[in-house]
This record gives sequence, C-alpha cells and structure tokens, in this order.
Amino acid sequence: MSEAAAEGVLLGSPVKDDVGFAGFYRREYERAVRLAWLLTGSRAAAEDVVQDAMAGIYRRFSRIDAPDAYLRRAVVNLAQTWQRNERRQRDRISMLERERPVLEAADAMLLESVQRLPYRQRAVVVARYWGGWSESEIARALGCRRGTVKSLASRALDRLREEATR
Amino acid sequence: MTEVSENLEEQLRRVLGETAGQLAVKPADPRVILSSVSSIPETDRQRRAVRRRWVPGLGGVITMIAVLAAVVIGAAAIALLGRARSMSRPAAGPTRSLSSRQQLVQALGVLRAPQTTAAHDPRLVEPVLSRAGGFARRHKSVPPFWKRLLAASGNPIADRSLIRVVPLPGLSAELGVVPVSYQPSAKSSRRAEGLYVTLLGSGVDGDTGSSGMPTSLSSLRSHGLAIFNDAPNGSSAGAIVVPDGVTEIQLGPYRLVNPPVPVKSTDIASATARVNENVAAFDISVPTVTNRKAASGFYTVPAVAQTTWFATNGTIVRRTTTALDLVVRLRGHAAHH
Repeated sequence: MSEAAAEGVLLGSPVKDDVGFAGFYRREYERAVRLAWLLTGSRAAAEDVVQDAMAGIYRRFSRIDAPDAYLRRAVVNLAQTWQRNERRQRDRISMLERERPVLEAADAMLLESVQRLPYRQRAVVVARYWGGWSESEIARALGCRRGTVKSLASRALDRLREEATR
Repeated sequence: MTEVSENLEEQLRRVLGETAGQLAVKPADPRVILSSVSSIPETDRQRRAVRRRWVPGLGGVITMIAVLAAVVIGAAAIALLGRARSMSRPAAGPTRSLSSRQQLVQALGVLRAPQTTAAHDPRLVEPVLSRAGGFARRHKSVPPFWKRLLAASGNPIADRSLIRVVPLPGLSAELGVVPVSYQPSAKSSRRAEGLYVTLLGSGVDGDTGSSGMPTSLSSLRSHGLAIFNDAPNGSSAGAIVVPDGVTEIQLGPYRLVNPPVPVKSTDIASATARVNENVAAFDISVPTVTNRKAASGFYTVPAVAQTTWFATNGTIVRRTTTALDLVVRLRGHAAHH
C-alpha cells in the first residue's frame, strides 16, 4: 500500500479519493502558496488561504473535473476575502509591517506598485505575468468575462507605467 | 505594443518570478488536510445521516463523561500549578491574560528592552498599590476602605518583570512605565494587562503616578498615556507614552477649562518633543499674567491640548487630545503661596 493510501486508511477516509487528492495536494501546494503570497503579501496568510482552499477541494474532490482550475479560483477568492479582513484589521493597528522580499531598488518599487493595485487588477497581473495563465483561465478564476480581464490588465499596466515614470 | 510596455511586461515577469522564488515553502503534507476535514460529511444526505447518529447512546455518554473528567482534571492541574507558582514567587506572579500581555509588549518597544536596576525602585509600584493588592489577596481582614480602593482600580498587580524606567532629558526626572494586570470589570474574574506610569525626580514637585483604572492597550494606541506635574521652576513638566511607530509629538493649541486666572489659550505656545523609548518629555511654561485684583502665586489651570503624533517620515500617525494641568504664575496684589 502506498503512503498516501495508508494515510487514507488510517484516517478512515475513502482511499481512492485520498490517493488522488494527496497527489494533487503535493503537486499543487507549493505553487498555490506562491500565488497566494503574491496576492496577499503575507506568508502566514498565503498558507492559511491555501489550506482553506485545499480543505474545500478535498470535500468534493471526486466531483471536480478540473481541480487545478478550481484551486486557482479558490485561492484568488480567498485571498481577496483575507485582504478585506486584513484591511479592517490594519485600520485598527496601522503599524503592522508586511514581509518584504529582497530585490533591487527599481524592482522593489515595481513590486510595491503591484501591491498597491486594486485587488482584481493585481490578480490579473500576477496571473498573467507570473502564472502565465491564459485570458480564459484568468476570467474563470476571477469569475468575469475575457473582455473584463483585458480591461483590468490594460488599466493595471497603465497605472504601473504611470507610477514608474513619476 | 510599445517598447516601454514590453520592457514593463518583461520586468513584471522577472520581478514576480524572483519574488515568488524567494518564498521558502514548507513541504506539502496532505495529512494536515486529511486530518482536519476527514470527519466532515460530504453531502447533505451524509450530513443528515450524521445528525441522526448523534442520538446519545452508551458510547456517547461514556465519551461525554470522559471529556468532562478530562476537563475537570485539566482545570484542577492548572489551578494547582498557578497556586504553586504564586507560592514560590510571593512578590511577583500577577494573574494575567497572556495574550493581552504579549500585545502590550508588542506595542511598546521599551518593554522589550532589558530591565535596569532602576526598575526595582519601590516608589515605582507604590502608586499602583501592589503591596496592598498582594496583602488583600493573602488575608481576608482588609479594611473596607482598601477593598473599595483596590476594587475601584481593578485590583491592579504590578507586572514587575516588565517595569521599565525611562530618563526624561532636560527635566531631571524619570518616568516609570509600570505594566499591571487588572480586572477590567468588577464582576468578572478575567484579568487584562494595562499600564500605569509614575513621574519621579528632582525636576518635578514630588513623585506622582497615574490613578484610577490602568490604561488599556486600545486606549494607549488611540490616545497614549500622559502624566504631568508641577516643576520647581513654575512650569508643567511631564511625559506622554505612545506606541511604537511614533517618533515626534506636538502638543497644542490648547483649550483652557474654566481658568481661575485671566490667561488666554493663545498665550501658550505649542510644544514639540522627540519620542525616546516610547516616551516624549515636555516642559510647558506659561507666561506670567497680571491681575491686581487677585492674589499673587501659582495657579493650576485645567487644559486640553490637541495632540499630533508623527512618524519618522513626518507623516501624521494620529490626532488626539491630552488632558493636563498647566501651571500659571499670576502677579497680583499679595502673595498667594
């Protein structure tokens, strides 16, 4: 019996689903955390977001046709929910420092500009330029039309360009 | 597509890639998910089936009894441990809420600095009735007056390991920052961590300390904690404690509350002080006023000062108000003091 199957048996869960889910989890977890990190700017939040998304997927894993697309959408949505809550909390405690990666000055400025973008614009930028997702995939993840994705991307680039030349 | 936008897109790909690459992700362990959700039913039908199974049978009753027994044993163990701890350290050992204590330490950098021997000065904790509080806990026969006084201030107990002393530059005085655990509500046994301050030294007329309920963390974050006293030179000397992130404080303009002498709020200049170890020191002098009909001397004028907190880059962190007593010297017809 494989390790994942053994986990399923030990935990009293359906072995077939656990094997499939365990493989999916191992394959997608790291990339999902990186995506959530780029969207939230917080490592702890990224891990929480991905755990919540994975928990949601696990419950209905056998019924989901494309779990990777489902995971992308769940991560994007949960990161937005976290951001709303975090903003409320930040209003109360305004001096919390976010984690900052080590980058060249110009790159750090660009990253800060990306982090200042409205959430949906930031999600489009991250999905397109880091994830390499197609417009259809981004539209599915954000729950909008392809035209909206194009418009969000265009506005985001305009804004980044404007901040870079300021 | 222009060259500029192509460059930006390339830069975005590189920066986001580098950023994501810098995150050290812990290895995925699906057992975390499996263990957290394996007991959650998948469908409505399963949910209903689970509800039906929740009729308390013999197994359920045994489980509940076992859980109750575990809770009782745990509570007893915690109570015994707490008692043993307080017996081994009679002077310290405040009953405190760890979370609010940690939050207070996180908010005030001065509490994270090492403690100096000056923090053992007994005058720092006298104003918070630490000894009387300890006495009240050990003995039943406490005079009613002390009981009422202690209860009115939330039965405060000094958190001695967190006491810090901050010198106030230019005032020949020092500020004792005294965290205490107290009961925010008289009917509740829950304890929270708050703050008292004491003002000591030759730069002020006698030692003074905060009174009433300790200042809570939320109040400290929104208003700070101020203490002022008369200075021998006839001014008002004091300090304001603020949370981390504030580097400068401006006091003023002022509003005077029913001044007993003819002084105008516009006569009092705004004062600015740098924050050192979460504390800003102020020495506010008011010009002498003349009134031949009143007696000469020093008068105390209650005032409310508009207070602005600044961050390192000069941005305003918060605007609030500070209540303080200003000392005004009046030149009149005869000596008052």
